[in-house]
Amino acid sequence: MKNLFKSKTASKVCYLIISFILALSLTICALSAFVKMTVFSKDFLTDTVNNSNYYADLCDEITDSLIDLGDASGLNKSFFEDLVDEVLVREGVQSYIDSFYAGEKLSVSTDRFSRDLRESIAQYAQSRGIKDYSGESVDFFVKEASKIYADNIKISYLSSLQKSYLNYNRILTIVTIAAAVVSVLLILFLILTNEWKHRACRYIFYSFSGSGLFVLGIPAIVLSSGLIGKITIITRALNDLYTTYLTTFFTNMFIVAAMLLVISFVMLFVHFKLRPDET
Amino acid sequence: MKKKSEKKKRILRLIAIPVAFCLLLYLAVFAVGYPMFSDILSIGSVFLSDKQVDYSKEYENIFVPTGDSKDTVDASEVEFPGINKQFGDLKIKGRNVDAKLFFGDGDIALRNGVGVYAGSFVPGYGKTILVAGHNNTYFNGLKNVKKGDVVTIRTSWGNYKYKINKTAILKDTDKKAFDLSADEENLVLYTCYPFDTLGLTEKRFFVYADKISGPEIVGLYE
Repeated sequence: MKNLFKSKTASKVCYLIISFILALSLTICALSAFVKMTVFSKDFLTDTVNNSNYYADLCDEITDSLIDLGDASGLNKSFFEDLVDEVLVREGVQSYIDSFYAGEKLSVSTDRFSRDLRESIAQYAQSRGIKDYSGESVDFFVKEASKIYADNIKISYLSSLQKSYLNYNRILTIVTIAAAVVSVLLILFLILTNEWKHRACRYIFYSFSGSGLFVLGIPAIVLSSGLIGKITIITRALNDLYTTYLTTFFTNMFIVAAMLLVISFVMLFVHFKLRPDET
Repeated sequence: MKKKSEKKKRILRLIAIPVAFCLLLYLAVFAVGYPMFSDILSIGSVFLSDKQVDYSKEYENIFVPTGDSKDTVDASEVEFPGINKQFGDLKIKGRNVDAKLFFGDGDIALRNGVGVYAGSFVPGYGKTILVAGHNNTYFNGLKNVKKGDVVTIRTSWGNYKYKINKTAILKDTDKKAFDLSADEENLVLYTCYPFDTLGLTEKRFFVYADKISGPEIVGLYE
């Protein structure tokens, strides 16, 4: 190795190239691990759904759509006021998310909603002295109402992403592990081939800080550009969900950048500590 | 002096090299990922807009009632309504039909009144005007209409009257229910059927009326 790095300049250039490759592998490792812990994590989506106003907005939207249907079905607005149960909506959405991450077929069970709706119709009819409330027209109404319910429970665009999720999930694990192994090997190489350990620390500092700055730049660009605020999705509930999701995602990226930068400063500190005093 | 400049150089290096690495990483990502990112960005741009989304349930009213109508009105004097804008009202005297008239028959229109199907025409155009309304609200009174009843539509550019010539109960998929390519101005009102019962059916109640008065819009294609 010493023969290889005969010239001082050539040796410096080689080490700089190696530390750049280390920066690259660190970035890949950090970002793929981060994406795996966020986009590819059921908990991240569940937390976002719970932390946004999604359920309340969703219940309002389902109720509004049902009121419109009721206007064509002989049912007054008051009938729908407490019809949509937020607990049932929560269970439905959670089950939909669970199925997505488990790779199961995405569907929404409307059995309980239909049953509750029929019971409410029966009570409504009895309270108004209506005897005929179980015919074909009521069945058709329940079917249409259940369709509205199911369509709202489904998180739009998720179904079209499931196949990609399943494919990339496995690849991402391999990429994270491979990048981590390469990073460790390069760090070991830098430490073991440098006679002066403070120099190794300096090269490792370059890698971590370069990678940290790169990761820092992504959320800084996205969040300062106001791009997320420009998202326009047809319903308020979904719009809030997706904007909260992306804002949380990019904000959390700052943590990854901070971790990389903290390690880099530790390496810089060690570098100064190990460096022989200049006299 | 030499020592000081050496120290300066070293510090500069500690800043410059990480920045250079960062820029090189962006360059590498751009070079390798450009085809993928351009696809993602073009798909993403579908969901981006400079205009804030309006989720309010409010609507705009551009209807200004006018007095006696002339025989014709120039197209330049007509403010053609946008979707979900109230541009007039619709009444059938003595039949309990009195509703705000919107352009478009979406949720906002039908919650607040009745709406002209956006693929049909507004009064004065000389074509078919197809108006939808809910049978539990603004078009509940259609159950009372009779042949010979007069439907009045008021707009900002003139007042129109149409005489009902027939009613029909048809399936919602019946393509013969109305003719949007008709060359004579005619009014078609429709709502869900039957009235005042619980539930939904595929049947619709249609009311057909012919124009008897109201200004014709001229200069449309000039």
